[in-house]
Amino acid sequence: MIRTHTIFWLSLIAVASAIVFHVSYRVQSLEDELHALNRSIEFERESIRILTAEWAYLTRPDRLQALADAHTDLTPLRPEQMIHSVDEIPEPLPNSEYRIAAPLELVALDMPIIPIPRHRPLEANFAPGLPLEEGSAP
Amino acid sequence: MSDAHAVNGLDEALFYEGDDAEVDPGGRLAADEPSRIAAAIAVGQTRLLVTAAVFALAFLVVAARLINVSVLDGAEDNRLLVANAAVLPADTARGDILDRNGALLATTLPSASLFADATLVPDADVAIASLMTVLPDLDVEHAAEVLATDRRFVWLYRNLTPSQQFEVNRLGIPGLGFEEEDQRYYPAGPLAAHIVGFTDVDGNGLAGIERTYDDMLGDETATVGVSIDLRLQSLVRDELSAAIEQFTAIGGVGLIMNANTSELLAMVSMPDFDPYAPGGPEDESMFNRATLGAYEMGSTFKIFNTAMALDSGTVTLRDGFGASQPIRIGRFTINDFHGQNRWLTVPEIFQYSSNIGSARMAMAMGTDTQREYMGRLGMLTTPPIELGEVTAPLVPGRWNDVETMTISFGHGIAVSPIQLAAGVASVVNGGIYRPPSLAPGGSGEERRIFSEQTSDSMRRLMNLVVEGGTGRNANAEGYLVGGKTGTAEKPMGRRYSDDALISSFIAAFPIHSPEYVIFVMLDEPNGTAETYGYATGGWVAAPTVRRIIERMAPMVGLAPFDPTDPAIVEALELTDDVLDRGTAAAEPQ
Repeated sequence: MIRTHTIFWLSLIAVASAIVFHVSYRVQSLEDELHALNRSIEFERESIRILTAEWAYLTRPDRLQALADAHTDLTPLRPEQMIHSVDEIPEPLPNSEYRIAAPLELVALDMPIIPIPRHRPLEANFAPGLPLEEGSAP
Repeated sequence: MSDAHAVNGLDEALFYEGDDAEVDPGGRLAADEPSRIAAAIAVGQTRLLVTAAVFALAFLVVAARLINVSVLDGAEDNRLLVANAAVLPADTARGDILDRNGALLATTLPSASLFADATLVPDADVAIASLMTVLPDLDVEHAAEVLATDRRFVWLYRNLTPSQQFEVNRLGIPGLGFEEEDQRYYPAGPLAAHIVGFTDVDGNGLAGIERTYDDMLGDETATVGVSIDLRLQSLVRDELSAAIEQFTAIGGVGLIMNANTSELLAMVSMPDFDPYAPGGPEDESMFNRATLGAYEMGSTFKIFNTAMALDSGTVTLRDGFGASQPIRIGRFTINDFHGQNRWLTVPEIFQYSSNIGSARMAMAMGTDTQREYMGRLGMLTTPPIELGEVTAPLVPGRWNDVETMTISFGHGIAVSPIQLAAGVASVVNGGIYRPPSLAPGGSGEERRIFSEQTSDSMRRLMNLVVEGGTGRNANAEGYLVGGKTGTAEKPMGRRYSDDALISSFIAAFPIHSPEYVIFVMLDEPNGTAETYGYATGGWVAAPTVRRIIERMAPMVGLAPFDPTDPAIVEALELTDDVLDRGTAAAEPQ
């Protein structure tokens, strides 16, 4: 009777200790993993901070401006270059040689008269100073 | 085993009681002995049972918990772990400063500093010589001196770049080590130096936003946002520098303010400084003209003078004043720069910037009205901007007729550029004053100063100045600018200088429904051949304002307007209906 009891309890103790050891090792390995992850998170965060600062440094407006001036032919946008609705696209001029079938012809870059988008040539006047050919205005 | 102990204990107890019993005079003990032993055993067994049950229960709980934790792996426990993992310390010693779009203005990064254990460095001369190849600006004398001592810790070089650190490591000199330190970086450099400010070596804010929000940045490591738009800041600085160079001015100010919130989108004061190497307090470049400088603004004050005269009902747009004779009062003579020498209407006084007409208008209005309006416009108190470097305005101690007249055209009172811009914003935005602010969204305070109608009339007048008055050079085609020139002689001791000017231009655009107020001021500009020798606001500051508007409009998403649009013509023309405002002709019949 006592032997069975003893064996029962001893085996229970053995099982319990096995579980305890198992748990404690798992906790330890998880903690190691956690610390490693935290360290790498901190490292990544620091890298992000450094890269953000570097990005801000490299994209500061005065530097971009200098680079654009040095390497491109771009200039600041002028008011007359901006078209923000279909209505502002100029109609073909009434007496213009470009007033022929295909509207694509209008895209010709060497047009003698460049209408200002905001002034629709058929209804509004031209800004003074533009090379308006004689007899071409309506 | 415990049973045996318990039985032994019981025996001893019995024996002891037996000893006791021998001195018991009654002698009843012997007769009751068997039943007493039985009772004691029963008590002992009960106690044992209870104790065993409690222990068994406790072990069962432990076992159950163990099985739960290790085998079943409850979801709750995972959450706990995650919560644990998420608790990381803040990764920086000081918060960032961002512009309104999130562009970095100031940040703290770890950087390595080089130290040495002087006892471990084998040959100081060799060490210094090889360090010089990597760190050419190493302080050689200092290094030699500290390496000759027996100290275990001496600084050799602070804040190395990562590549320098790598190179020093590669030299392999024994006795050297690195210590991580926090270093403040300003990626935009001098661009926003006057706004952001700077810190000392230990990361305490000494100027600008760094000082104002030192507690937030340092103790809470919170991120601070300012209302500045770095792109606009850059273009204003660009154009202002060009103007200062062209007109050989000693300095200048450029502001872009949101007309409806009074938040500053750009604030440039030239010359500015390198935040990594700020000058001393006496250094001219450390002086923020936009907030710390108080200037007599000149004719830009006629905006306020005209607005308050109209708003108080002193004059209507149909009224006028004689401007042919200079005004002599005391030792002063008030004269016109663009003299028309005739009777001028209120719009003409504004358009041609007549000092005489403005002075007469101010006298008609009276000193008290002028002072009250100036007070409500924030011209008499220090503006509540989020910077420590801010000046109180210079207000006349005695405010009599002479002062009333001179203040009408911007002399005799000196205010900072941000005060002027916030005041003009209130004139054009429908009449509501909001204090100038660097907080995104503005300070939130507001008070009505002028009526909607006064503001509408003033917008038309300011458009007139640009369309056909002294401000023609500010006319950015398509963007409908309204504004006012200002040229003031700088006070030199007790009198005004003839050739040292403060030339400025203040503009609002698009003037039919203003969104931005732009201010450009040049300090002591000199005329050039292109300006026919003139160094007045209309010649030196107005073109800069025009270029700023032309460049900023696409950035802020404003398309050009068609000036022939009936709605815009309606909003800007000085029609008879507008001119009749406040007069008998406008009264309902």
